[in-house]
Amino acid sequence: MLSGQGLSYVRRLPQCGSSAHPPIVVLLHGFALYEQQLFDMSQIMDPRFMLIAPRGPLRIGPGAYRWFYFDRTPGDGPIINAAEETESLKTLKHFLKGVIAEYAPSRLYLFGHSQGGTMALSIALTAPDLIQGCAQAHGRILAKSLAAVSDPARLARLPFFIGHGRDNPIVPIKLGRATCDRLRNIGANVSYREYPLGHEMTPDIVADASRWLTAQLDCSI
Amino acid sequence: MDRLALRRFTIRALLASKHDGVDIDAIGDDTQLGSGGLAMGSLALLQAFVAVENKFGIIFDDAAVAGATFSTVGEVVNFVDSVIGKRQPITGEF
Repeated sequence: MLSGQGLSYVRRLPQCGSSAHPPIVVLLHGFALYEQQLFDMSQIMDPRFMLIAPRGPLRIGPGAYRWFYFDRTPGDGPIINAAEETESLKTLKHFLKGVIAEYAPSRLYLFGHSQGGTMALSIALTAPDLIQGCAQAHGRILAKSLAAVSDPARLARLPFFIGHGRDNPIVPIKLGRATCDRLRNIGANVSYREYPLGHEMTPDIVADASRWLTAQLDCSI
Repeated sequence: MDRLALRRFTIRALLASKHDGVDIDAIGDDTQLGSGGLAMGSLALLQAFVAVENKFGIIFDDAAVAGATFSTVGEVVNFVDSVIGKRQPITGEF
């Protein structure tokens, strides 16, 4: 467990290729989880990638951290604690800038699950210059992040992978589809897939995201 | 704290989120945490762990809790006992 830029994190160094400017995938876990689960599942990712998995800054209990609290609502998706979300987004931006400063990555991608996916999308919308692509599953676009888009042209050049469970009881499928539609309306290149799942992260989704990330990396070389 | 007192405290922590007057003496080790038992959600279980942490000044290991499966009250009590028991001798009667 390393610590820096306000968040503790675990890291996998690139397994091959040059380590001078490694491509990096930052893994963002979901609510009431912690960094290790997504980090372990993501070990199948391209060995050229360095993997960095920060821990959400707010503790719920042992093995359970969050980026922000939320209240579940029937049908329309969660209502978030906006103050916590704002502070965590600021902390995450600071963390990503620290990752860039320390490792000078050739490419920086995000891969988030659930609330981590929502955080990834918020980074993409409000700070697209920090990353070269965004993959996420079961998250959603927050209205406040959409309203804060300052550079639609830059955003339109950013590739996205979105996976969503058709039977998602926490973030309903209509929010997954709406996320896809909103990004496409901005002009972004979105790869969208639905799964016969609820809200869980599965090896199938990680494998799809992994293939997508490898393709992005290969396109950039 | 002896094991029986530890068990009682842990069960009280598990019941903290219940507002329907559950009788602590009616709770057995085999009482289910989920449906068919206390009908607790995962967040309520986490809050119970935090209450134990605060009581004993400990921090449970993230991986130990995240990697475990807790289906019954007894499984939680045994887990708490296994951690607390390492810190101080248990003097209660069995």
